Parts: sequence; C-alpha cells; structure tokens
Amino acid sequence: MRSFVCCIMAAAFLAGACCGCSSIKVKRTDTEKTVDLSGNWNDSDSRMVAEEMIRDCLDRPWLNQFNIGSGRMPVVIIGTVVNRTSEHINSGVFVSDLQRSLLNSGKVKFVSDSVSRQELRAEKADQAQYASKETAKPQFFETGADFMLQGDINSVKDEIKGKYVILYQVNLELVNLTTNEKTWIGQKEIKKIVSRSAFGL
Amino acid sequence: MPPTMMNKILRFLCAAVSCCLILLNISCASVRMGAKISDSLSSGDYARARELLDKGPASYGSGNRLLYFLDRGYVLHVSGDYRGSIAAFEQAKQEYDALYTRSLTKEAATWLVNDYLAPYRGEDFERVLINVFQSLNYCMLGDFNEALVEARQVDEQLRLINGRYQDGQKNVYKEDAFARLLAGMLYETEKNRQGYNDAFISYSKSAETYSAGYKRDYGLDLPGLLKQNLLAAGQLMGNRELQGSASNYGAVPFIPIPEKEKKAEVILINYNGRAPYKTELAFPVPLPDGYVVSLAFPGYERRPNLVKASVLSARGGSGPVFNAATEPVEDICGIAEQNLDNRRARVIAKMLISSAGKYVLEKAAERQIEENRGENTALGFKIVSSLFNVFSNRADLRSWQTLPAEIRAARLLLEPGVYDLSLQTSDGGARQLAVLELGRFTLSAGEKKFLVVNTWE
Repeated sequence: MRSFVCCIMAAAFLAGACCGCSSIKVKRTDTEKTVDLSGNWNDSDSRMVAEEMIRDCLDRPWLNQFNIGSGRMPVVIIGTVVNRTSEHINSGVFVSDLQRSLLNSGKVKFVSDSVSRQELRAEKADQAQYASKETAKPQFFETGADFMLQGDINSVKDEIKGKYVILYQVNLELVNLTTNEKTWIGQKEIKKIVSRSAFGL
Repeated sequence: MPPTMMNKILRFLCAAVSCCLILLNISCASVRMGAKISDSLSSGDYARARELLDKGPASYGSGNRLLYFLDRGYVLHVSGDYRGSIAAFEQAKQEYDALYTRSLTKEAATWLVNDYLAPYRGEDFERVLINVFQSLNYCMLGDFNEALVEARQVDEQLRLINGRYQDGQKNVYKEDAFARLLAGMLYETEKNRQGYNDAFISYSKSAETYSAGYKRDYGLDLPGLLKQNLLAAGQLMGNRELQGSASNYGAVPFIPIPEKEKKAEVILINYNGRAPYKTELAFPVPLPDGYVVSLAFPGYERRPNLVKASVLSARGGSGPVFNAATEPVEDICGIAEQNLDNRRARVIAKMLISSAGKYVLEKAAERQIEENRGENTALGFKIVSSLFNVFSNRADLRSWQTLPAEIRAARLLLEPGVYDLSLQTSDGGARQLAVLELGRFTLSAGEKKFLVVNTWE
C-alpha cells in the first residue's frame, strides 16, 4: 500500500519538481563561429551576408569604370536597410557589418551616415565657437558621397507541425547620387530548415 | 481493528489528503493571481496590478510562466509602459515556442491527477492577441516599422492555425478579423504601392471573416471603418478590386487614399470590460462497489459591464466637435467561450477515461491489499482513494484573465491641427457613464495616431 501511495505522489510531483532545477552556464565563444539556436536571423547571417555582398559589389565593373573616369576612389554612404521580415531584426548590426566590409576592402572611401553627420556638425559648430583657431576643425569641408548603398531584408516562412523553412532574401542596390542610376544590384538568400520535436521527456 | 493498523490508515489518509490540498493550492495560484490582477485593473488600480506582477513568475506557480507573461504584458500595455509590455510579450512568445515540445511525463501526470500538472499552453486566439497588443505597443511608441513586423507575424500565425483545420470546418478559431484589420491599417503606413496592396489583402481577409464566421458565431457585423478602408485600398489597386469589394460588402462613402494622406487619422482602440473567468462544474459519482470518482468540467462565467457604447470626440480649439462612435471589432468573450465549446467533447472524454483508469488501478490495488493486509486495510484504502479522486479531479481553470471582454474601435479623419480628444462611455442608451479625457494632440497631415483606452463600469 505504501508503495502505491509513493507511486501516486511521485507521479504527481515529478513534473513540478523538475521545473525547480535551473542553473546558468556561461561559455565564451569565437564571434566568427556560427551558432544557430532558434533559426532566426542572427549575427552570423548578418556578417556572412554583408561580407559576400560587399565582395560581389566591389568585384563588379562599376568600380574600375569610376576609378578610370574620375581618377580617384569612389565615396560611398550607406542609406537605409529596411526590415520587411516577420522578425524584429536589428538592421543596425547589418549596416555596421556592411560598413566594416566596405571600409576594410580599401577600394572605396566611406562617409558617415546622416545621423552621425549631425553629431559631427554639432561638434564642429561647438569647436568654431570655443576651440582655438589652430585646433578648430573647419566646417563646409565635408566629402560628398558619390554612391548610396540601400536595400531591404525580406523573409518567407512556410511552417507546418513543428517544422518550418525560412528564406531570408537581402537586396542591396548601389545608386549613383548624381544620376540616380542603379550601378549595382545584389541579392543574397539564406534558407534554413528548422524543426522542433513534438514530444520530450 | 488493532490500534497500529488504525494509525497507519490515519497516517495514509492525512498524507493523501495533504498531497491533494498542496496540489490544489499550487495549481490554483495562477487563477487566484490572475483574478486579483484583473480586479485591480477593473478598479483602475494599475499600480496594485503592477505590484502584484512584480512578485515574478514564481507567484503563478510552476507551469504558469506563460500566463504570467501574458498578464504582465497586458497590464503594462494598458498602464502605458509600452517598452515593458514589449519585453513581457516577447517573453510570452518564447514561452509559447518552448511549450511546443510536450513533456511526456507531465502529460502522463495529467491523466493520473489533473491538467494542472501540465504547463498552461495558451489558446490560439491568445497567441494572435500577443501580436495585436505588441503591434499596438509599437504604434504607441511611434515605431511603425516594428509594428509592421508584428503585423507580418499575425499573418504567419493565422496561416499556421489555418493549416491545422480542414476547409469548411466550422466554429473554430482559425482567422482573426480584427488582427487582419489592424494589420491592414499598419500596412498602410508604408505609404507605397506594396503597402497598400498588402493592406487591401488584409482588409479583404478581415471582411471575409467578419461577414462569415464573426457574424455567425459572435454576431459581429462588418465594421464601417473596415468597409471604408477596404474600398479606399481597393480603389487604389484598380477598378476591378473596387467593384468586387463594393459588390461583396456594400458601397459606403469613403475618402480616397490620396485625400486621406492630406488628413490626420486618429484610431482609437477601446478595451471594454473584462474577459470571462472559468468556473468549475464538479460532481462526485458514487460507484456501486463503494468507490467515489469525481467529474469536473470548466465553464465560462461572464463579468457584468455597464459600458455598452462609447464615442470618440475631437475638439479643435473653438471649432466644431468631431465625433465617431466606437464599433465592436473583437468579441473576446465569444471567442473564448466558443473555443472551450470546441474542446468540450475532448475534455469530457479525457475526464471519463482518466476517472475510469484511476478506478481500474485502485480496484486492482485494493484486491492486492485485501489479500496481503486484510479487509479493514482495504476498506481504508478505498476511502482514501475516493478522497484522492474527489480532490485530484479538478477542471483546469487557467485562462488569460486580464484580457478585455471586447475590443471596440473608432476612427476620425481630421484636418491637421491641435485637438483635445475624449471618449464618452454610455450604457448603449441615453445614460452617459463617464467622459475620459485623452489629452491634447498636435496632428499633422498623413499622421496615423493610435490611442488605446481601457473602459469598465
């Protein structure tokens, strides 16, 4: 009889008791290493897409044509990358990855975006008022960009019974700021298959 | 009976009943907390509701983390802490994902004891409402890009829910007309052809749902606001879309989108009343051989609310007052009740099988005890087993209790300017109940201003 009661009590509290166990483990990992947990867009996707797309962009004929035509490196600015997915993606991380890849290529010059420019202009205006003439940085000597890189991130998700396929499509365009001509259009897709088990212990 | 045997039986009895009382106490924690928080919301005491929630998920008992984050998200949403609400609802989404995998041990325990031993998994409509509240959180913060992400999630969630049911299967929640309407209004904020196309598709799906399921199941008509938006978006898409929408849902006067973009749009979302709460219908069933089993089923009880109608008003200085009556757009009471009705046969079947299973197990154990320990011990076991059956067979009364009973909406299209906005509530007749001042707003051309208001009398 005692064992029967024990069985009932054990079964009744088994689930609840299991919930109480939790511990935090922290392990440092290489930022270049790909770690997929939920299947959502993550830092690895952002980095890989940015590197590949910028590489593709800089391998295209527009760069040589500009270098030969103007005798200098083109100046690029990054515009908006619109998130059109169903995930709350921090497009700022992707934009930073694009900036890093562009700048590190050494093939183009790069100017600050509109938000950073406001801060820089405020600093120069402040210097004009308070800094010595020798050290104050002059206004109206900014470099105007020749091209703007802009684009969007889209996603399509197909899900059924714990399994889904998600396709991320990143579209980027390099637009000539003088003529509004599209100098380069790039597209990179990432497809992921994510499955979850319906039952566990 | 020897005294030692009597003592053993008494000890066993105490242990089993204590076990059941502890179980009952743990399982009811979330129901009690939800009720307390809901009462605080009803009395307008948001601070008290937040204070209760600050005790953390543990206060809801194990297996009820999802409920905690649902309540927390909603309370912070209606009390104006939109960032806090976003964080809570994101946690709730993660809980939903984590709960996709069902624990076999916990599922087995629900058959042996009751459904409280499994975590609260939420209802389909509750999952969609997370996206609705989340998109409104972002709207209130003026971040329409992120609100649009939520609108896209609504589409994904409904597609997933739709996939679970066969075509033509009636009386099940597989579309959400209000979520589609809201998604349409959000797609419009993109202000490009793709956005208006997405908006038109959302409005069309919403209109289809209102005119079919929502009218039949909850008595809700197609809101005038939806008709106007559908026709305006249809007109932009082309003559075929406009004619098709007008012939399907009726032609009403509407302002074309190019003209609408020159005006400011105020959209009021009114959460009215409190969602129904679950009650238990339980009755012990004595069996011929002396055993008692208990059958317990959940049902919904509506909470009375005097507010039956409300009117949004905008006064621009000494100019005229613009009014728009709110229309019911989502009957949460009706959806919750319908959902439970759909599950009723399954709940009853599980209760009957579980009770029969317990009875067979207990009967077998009783025979063994009788052989080994004698008749008196077996009788004691029978009494304790019956007590266990009566105490442990409980209906699962967990639900998202802080939800409103219904959602109403009104829209005003105004010339750009400064306006004092207010909401007057009434009993649906001549009796005015309250006037809620919503504040003074400077509205610019093309602006979409969302407001959320909680009403209850």
